[in-house]
Amino acid sequence: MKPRHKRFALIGGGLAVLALAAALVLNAFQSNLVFFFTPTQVAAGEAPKGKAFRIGGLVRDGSLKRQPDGLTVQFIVTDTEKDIPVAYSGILPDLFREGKGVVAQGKLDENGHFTATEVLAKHDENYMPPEAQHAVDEAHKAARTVQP
Amino acid sequence: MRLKAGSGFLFGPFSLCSAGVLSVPLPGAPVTKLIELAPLDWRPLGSGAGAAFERLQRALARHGPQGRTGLGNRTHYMNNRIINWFKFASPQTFYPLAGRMIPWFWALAAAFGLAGLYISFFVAPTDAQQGEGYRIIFIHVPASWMSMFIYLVMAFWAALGLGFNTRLSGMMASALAPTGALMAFLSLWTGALWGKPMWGAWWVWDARLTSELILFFLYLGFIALQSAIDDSRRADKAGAVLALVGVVNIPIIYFSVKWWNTLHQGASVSLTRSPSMAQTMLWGMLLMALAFWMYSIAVSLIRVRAIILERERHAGWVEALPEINGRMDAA
Repeated sequence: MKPRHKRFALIGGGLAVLALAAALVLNAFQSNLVFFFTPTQVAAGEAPKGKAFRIGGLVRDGSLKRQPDGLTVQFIVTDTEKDIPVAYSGILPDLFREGKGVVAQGKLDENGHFTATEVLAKHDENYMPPEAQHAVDEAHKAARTVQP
Repeated sequence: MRLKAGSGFLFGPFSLCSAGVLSVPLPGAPVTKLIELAPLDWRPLGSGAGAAFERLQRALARHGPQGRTGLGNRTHYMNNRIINWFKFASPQTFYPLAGRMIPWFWALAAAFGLAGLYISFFVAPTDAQQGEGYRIIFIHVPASWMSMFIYLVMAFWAALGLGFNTRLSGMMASALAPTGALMAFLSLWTGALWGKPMWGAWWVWDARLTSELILFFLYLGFIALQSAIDDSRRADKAGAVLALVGVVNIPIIYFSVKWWNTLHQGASVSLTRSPSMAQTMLWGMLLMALAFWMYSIAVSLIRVRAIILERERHAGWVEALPEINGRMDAA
């Protein structure tokens, strides 16, 4: 083995050890690295109790209710398995829509109601022009056979 | 410039690396032996290269079975390529080569950039959800890609420098770092500008954003470490170790949106499935990515030329350069 080969073997070995260490560390911190918990995880008791945490999911269609003061809103976050009712008082981000992703930070009370202090919209990875979106919406409407 | 077009295309992503790399397989023992004899900082310009080549040919005629068969021509071609690739590992030969390549990469960057900007602003449709705000992706995504890719190239050079002890490798790594840092910064900054209206927050500590921030700090750390050490060879070594350690962060950035729940959306474009994005938007983004890529190469080559001049300023060939010579006469 020439010194040059030895150096390359050292570099390769070092990188492999480093990758293994990183994998183990990330694995150990798995639960701390999640940005939010899904309603199913909350129902299973995985979310921290008595502490603020984030929930993430879709805003259920038709669940958004605005209070007369114009700032307080109530909606349901769902992952299509479990639901969590959320109350929030503040300005909602532009991308906040029914049927779209949302991440809310706050606390869960004993009755399973979530009071949010911050609401973030989670954008999905789909980028499409309004015409395409319109076509998708029309298809949904046609499926529901609602005549205007 | 005698890099073979075919290999350049094949190693497309590494076109920046291809000049001066010693990664061609060495066919046959005699060639390897010759390479071994050569000093690590090979300076084979002029008679040196010619003599080495002749010795190589003679050695092949003596030892190589192909030398006497019909394959002779092909071996000749292969060896010719090895010589040329080795040649560019020396700062003295790489300096003029880089000088000749820079205008081409500028031209490509301008062409891709103009086409990309035109599509981004005038052809790509408005997004149904985000309106016009989504157009930040034409900067944000290419910058993020380049920030990760440049780091990989930098680490690749760092590894070569550690292994082969070549001077040029370290110079390439330090020439790439500022551009990489710029790309990481652009990625974070444009992301923040987009995040405020769309998500409702400038910044969140989710896995994607945090790991990209760490990448930015890795670049800064690399630059700081290298400039803190006066001896350039030791600075290269220290920087190379740092660059290689930081490489684990790259897959973490890339896969963070898959491995964990993040606020950042998943990848719209990936190698394994069709992109979830309108066709023209995708074209604009890819053209902009190419423009960023070409820009990065051009600007890194300019920087590596400056580094070569600075570190080799006592070498005879630098003083003989017309741009140096002329200036000294004028002074």
